[in-house]
Amino acid sequence: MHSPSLSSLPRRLVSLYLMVCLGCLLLSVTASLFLAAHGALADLAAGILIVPLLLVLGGAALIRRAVTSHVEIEEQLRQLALLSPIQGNQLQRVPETDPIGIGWNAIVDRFSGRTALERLEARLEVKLRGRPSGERLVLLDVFPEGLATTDGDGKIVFGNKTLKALLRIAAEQEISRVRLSESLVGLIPDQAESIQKSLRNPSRPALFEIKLGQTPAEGILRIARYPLAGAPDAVETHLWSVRDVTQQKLAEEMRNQFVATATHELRTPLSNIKAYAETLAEHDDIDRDEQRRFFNIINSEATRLGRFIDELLNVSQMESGALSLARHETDVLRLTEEAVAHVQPELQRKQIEFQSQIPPKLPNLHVDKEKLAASLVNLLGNAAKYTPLGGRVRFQVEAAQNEIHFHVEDTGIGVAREEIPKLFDKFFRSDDQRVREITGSGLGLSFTQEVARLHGGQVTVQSELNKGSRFTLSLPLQAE
Amino acid sequence: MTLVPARILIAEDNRVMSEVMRFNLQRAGFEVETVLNGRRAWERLQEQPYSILLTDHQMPEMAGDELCRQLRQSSLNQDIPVIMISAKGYELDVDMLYSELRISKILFKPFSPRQIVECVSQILHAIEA
Repeated sequence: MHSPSLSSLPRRLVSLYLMVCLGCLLLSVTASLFLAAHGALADLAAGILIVPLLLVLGGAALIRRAVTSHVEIEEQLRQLALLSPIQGNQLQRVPETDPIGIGWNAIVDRFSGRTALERLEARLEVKLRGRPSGERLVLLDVFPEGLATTDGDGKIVFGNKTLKALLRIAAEQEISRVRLSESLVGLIPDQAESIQKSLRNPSRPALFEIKLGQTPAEGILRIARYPLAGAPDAVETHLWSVRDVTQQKLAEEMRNQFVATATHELRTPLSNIKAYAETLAEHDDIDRDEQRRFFNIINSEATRLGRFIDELLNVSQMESGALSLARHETDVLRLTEEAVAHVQPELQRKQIEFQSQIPPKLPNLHVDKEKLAASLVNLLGNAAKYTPLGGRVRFQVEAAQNEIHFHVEDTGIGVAREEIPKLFDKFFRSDDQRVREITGSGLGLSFTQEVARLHGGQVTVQSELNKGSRFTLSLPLQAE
Repeated sequence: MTLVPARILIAEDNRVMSEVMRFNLQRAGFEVETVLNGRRAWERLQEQPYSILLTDHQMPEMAGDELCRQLRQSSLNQDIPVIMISAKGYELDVDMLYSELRISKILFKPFSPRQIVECVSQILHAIEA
């Protein structure tokens, strides 16, 4: 038992441990006898005996655990010594309790040729096998993405609840054995050919989008299909994911449209400024009146540019929730007069009949004068903008008991019923060709609504296509 | 050699812009007429011959590209040189405008008035030659 080569490490460990234990026990018995002889407390003596005993038992358990893998490794090595040559699959993995076990497992894996991914898969499989399959299915059902696996015929083996909802299949209807590509075609029969084309090669991943209607708002699904290589029972050959990307697409579209509009709105006054400034610089024989007229144009175009930049800043503040009010005691009558004066030139240019009904006496309001004026200019400006030549715009202010209402009514092009809910969305602009032809940022109404909301009020709308619209901005009379 | 000044039609809904173009082109010796939208331009082109059309892209009633499409299909003005000006950027289908609608030149805002004058002179010169 003396040469290290003959005695196994685990055995040496155990014998060493046992010797230490025996020493401890001897010491404690001697100590307790000594204490008892000198009339010390019996409890203390017992304690001195129990503590080492517990330590011995605990230590034994720990050693047993550490030693099992070592014993297992030793056993396998012994067999290896008897059986030659070495075959990878003869070696077995052991519990990884210490570096020796981990190292042994690495050797086993190397021999059996398993990759890290396969080991992960194997471990995952053990984990999932341990759980009831019901739990796994619920987990997949609450997933926001439609998921499915299909067999070699393209028939569904497993599909979650989200998939049913996205493919517009009733929740109680069974979907296994349904061909997934067919239910996609069922959604949009006219795109059958392009769907089949996207799914042509079953051995390659496929990624494509399908539109559920003419406009993006009617729905866009992003479909992905991945081949499942080397599935154990080879029943499931594809993994599918179906995602509703409608909102994402709409947001992208709105942003692109906004950038296009903003660029146009910025370039128009800028190009006027440049053209007039260059004209003035290049011709030194322009008469004084003409010169003054050109300078005035440059000035007013610069003002327009500044106003649009303010509007952009308002939006970015709205986006970040940082739009705030600077409230002051405000003369409402003057405020409305200023707002009307702002749109008067446009009303006159289009020969629009303007009626205003404003009571001679109105209570003062504790409001943000600038923002409220900009909001009224927005409503009146829209009425002027979207009312054809020779139409009518009516501006009415009405002070009720607790609220004040500003009504702006026009005989303009109106808003289609389905577009009314989107009217106050940032960057929203109607699909109506008549609106498309008029420049606008799609920000005015959302700004106005936000200003009303910050004041504790709201903007409401009634509108009929081709008849006209009536917008009402209502504010509480008592500041909150 | 012709002594009659070339007659230019400007279709632009922004009055301020069309004024400054008119000012510079008139000073360069051209005869200039302005209209505020594509439809009005189409009507004027039916009534009168013009040497060149200068049109904005985005206009009410009838946009610049639509105006050109109609002109190219008409018998009266199918070969009139067209300069298009636009405040748009990447969303403009430049290739289509050049090849399909045979636009002579597209100028993007902001441009300098001298550029317009030079462009008009060049195109007219090329026709005369």
